[in-house]
Amino acid sequence: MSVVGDYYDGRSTRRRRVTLDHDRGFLQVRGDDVERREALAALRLSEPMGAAPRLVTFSDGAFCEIRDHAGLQRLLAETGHRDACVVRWQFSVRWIAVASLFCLAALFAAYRWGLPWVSARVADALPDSVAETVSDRVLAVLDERYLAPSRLPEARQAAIAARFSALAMPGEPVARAHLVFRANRAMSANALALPSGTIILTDDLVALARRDNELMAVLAHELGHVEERHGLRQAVQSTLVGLLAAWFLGDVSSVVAAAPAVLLEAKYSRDAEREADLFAERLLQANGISPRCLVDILQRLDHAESSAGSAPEFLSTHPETIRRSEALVGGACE
Amino acid sequence: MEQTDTGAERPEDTAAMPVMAGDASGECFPLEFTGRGGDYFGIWIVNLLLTLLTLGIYSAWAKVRRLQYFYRNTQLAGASFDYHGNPRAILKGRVIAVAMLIAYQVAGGVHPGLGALVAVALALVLPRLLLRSLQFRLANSSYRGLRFRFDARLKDAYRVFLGWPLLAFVTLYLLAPFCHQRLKQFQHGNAVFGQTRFAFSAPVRAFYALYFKMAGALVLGGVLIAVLGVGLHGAAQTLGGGRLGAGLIAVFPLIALLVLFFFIRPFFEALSQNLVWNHTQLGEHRFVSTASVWRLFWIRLTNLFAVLFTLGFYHPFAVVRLLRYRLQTVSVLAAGDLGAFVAGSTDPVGATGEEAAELFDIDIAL
Repeated sequence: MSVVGDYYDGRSTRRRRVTLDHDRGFLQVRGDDVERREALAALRLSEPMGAAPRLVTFSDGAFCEIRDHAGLQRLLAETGHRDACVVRWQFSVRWIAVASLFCLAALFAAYRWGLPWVSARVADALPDSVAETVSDRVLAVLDERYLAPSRLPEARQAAIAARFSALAMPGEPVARAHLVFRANRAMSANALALPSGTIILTDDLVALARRDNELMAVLAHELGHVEERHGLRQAVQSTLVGLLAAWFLGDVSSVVAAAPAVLLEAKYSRDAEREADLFAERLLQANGISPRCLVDILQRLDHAESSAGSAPEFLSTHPETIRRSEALVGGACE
Repeated sequence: MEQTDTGAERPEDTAAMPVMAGDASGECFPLEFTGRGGDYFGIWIVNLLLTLLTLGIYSAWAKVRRLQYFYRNTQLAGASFDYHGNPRAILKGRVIAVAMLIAYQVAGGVHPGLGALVAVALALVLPRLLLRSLQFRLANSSYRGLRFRFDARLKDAYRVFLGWPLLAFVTLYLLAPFCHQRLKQFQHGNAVFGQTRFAFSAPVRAFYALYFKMAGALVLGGVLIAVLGVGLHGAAQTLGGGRLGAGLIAVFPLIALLVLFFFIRPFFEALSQNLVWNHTQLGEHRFVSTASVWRLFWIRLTNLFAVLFTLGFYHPFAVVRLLRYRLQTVSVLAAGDLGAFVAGSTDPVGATGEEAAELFDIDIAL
C-alpha cells in the first residue's frame, strides 16, 4: 500500500514528488533524488485538519506533505496508527454534540450563578470610598437633570427622617443610611437607593403615601438594596457582562454588544427587587409594621404608572406588583 | 475561548512565495483557503470545552491547534503553510502576561500613583514585547519547510511602538497616517523568508489618502443620513403617518448612523489591506490584493447577525468565512525565474511578547 506526497528537505523550498510505503515498521520514501527509510517510531504525523494536507516529519526537519487522505488512511491502518483522543473527538459528531451541550450548560451556569457570585465578591471587596465617589457623582447627575430641591416643609422632612432613623434593624446593623428629599422634574413618584447608603425620596411619593408606615415600608425596601449592595453589584455585573459580550463578539460594534447585557441585566435586577422586598419584610415585622404597607403603596405606584404604559416583564426591572403582593403577606396596613 | 484575529497581519499572508525551480516567470499564484466552517467548529468546540475544564490552561494548546488549522489550510502554488509554536512556550508567555496584568491592577488598587508608575514601566517594555511577539509569530511560521523570520532592531521597535504614537498624540493625531505607514514599513520591511527579505514601498502620502477617503466616507454618509432624515420627516408630516410612522422616523437616523459606523471598519480594512499588500515585495516577487469594501461589509454584517442569533455558535463559521475572503483576495506575482529559497539562521524565540501583547489587547494590526 503506497501513497503519493511532496517531499521538502527543510533547507530549501524545492519540491520533490515522492511515494511513501510501509515496510515492517519502517517508512520508505522514494522519488526525485530522494531515498529514505526511517523507523516509524522516529517520525511525527500531524493531526488531521479537514482538507489540509497531513505532514509526516522526520527527525532532521524534512517532511512530506500528503493530500491523498484516503490513501494515507489505508497506509496508517496498515501501521496500526491511532490518532490522539482529542483529535478523534474533534471530528466525531457525538463528541462535538457533547462538547456543545456542555459549553451551553457552562454558559448558562456562568450567567445564572457565576456572574452574580463574582459581582457580589467584587462589590464587597470595593472600598467604601468607591461607593461614596460613585454615589456622589450619580446624585450630582440626578440633581442636574431630573431632580429639584424638595418643596416639603422642613418640619415634615424632619419628622420622616426621625421615624426612619428610629427604625430597629433586624440582625446586624445596616450600613449608614442617610435620607435626602427631592422634588421630581422628569421622574414619577420614586425612591432610589445609592450604593453609599443615601436614599432619595421624592415629594410625589410622600404625597402618594396615605400613612407614614407606607413610607417606612418603601424606605425599608430601599434599605434592602443598600444592605445587599445591589447598586455596586449591578454596576460590576453590567461592566462584566458588557466586557464579556464585547470580547466574545469581538469585532462587533459596542452598541450591539450592549444589547445582550441589557436583556441579561433585567433579570438580575428583578432578583434584586425580590431580595430587597424580603429584607423590607423582616425589617417591617421587627418594627411591628405590616408588610402589607409595602404592597399597598406599590399597588398605588403601579396604578399611577400604568397610565403611562409599562413594559412586559422580561424587559422590566421591577417584578410585577401582583407577584410581589403574593410574596408579601401580613395584616392590613395601619 | 479563543479570539481569532483575522487581520492581514497573519504571517501566512505576511509571507507567501511560490518557489519551485522552473516556475514560469510572471505567473500569478492566488492564495487559497481550504478551511471549512464545519471542520473548524469541531476543533473550536472541543478546544473550548477542554479550556473550560482545565481553567484556561489548555488554551495554549488550543491556540496552536487553531493556528495550525488556519495555516495548513492556506495553500499557495500547491503547497501549504505551517505553524510550529510550542504550546508550553505559549503557556509560559500567558502566565507572565497575566502576572503583569495583576501587578498592574494591584498597584493601581494600592495607590493611583503606584499604578501610574507601573503603567509607565509597562509602556517602556511594551515595544520590546511587541517586537518579540512579531519574532515569535514569524519564527514559528513556515512555507514549504522554510521558516520566516523577523529581523528588526530594538531601536526601531521603540520608535514605531512608542516614539511615533506619542508624537501623533501630541499633534492631535494629525500624524496618525504617518504612524500607520511607519508601522507597516516596520512589520513588512523587516520580515524575512529563508534568506530573502520582504520590502515595503507604500509612501506616507498613500496613507494620508487612505485616511482622507475614510473621513470623506464618514462625512458623505452623515450628510446623506441628515438629508434622508429631514426628507422622511417632511414626507411624514404631509402624509400624516401616525404614531408608528413617527416612531420609525425617530429611530431612522440612529440605525443609519450605526450602519455607517459599522461600514467604516470593512471600508478601512479593505483599502488598507490593498494598499499594504500592493506595496509589499519578497525579493523580486510582488503581491496583489483586490479586497472589496462591499464584499467585506456584507460578510461582516451577516456574520454579526448569525453570531448573535446562534448565541455565538456561528463564531467558527464566521471566522472561516472572513478569513477565506481576505486570503483569497491576495495573490503572489512571481517575477522572473524563481530560484530555490534557502534557509537562514533560526533561533528559538520566547512567546512572552506575543501573549502579553494579546492580553493587553494591543492590536498590532493597526
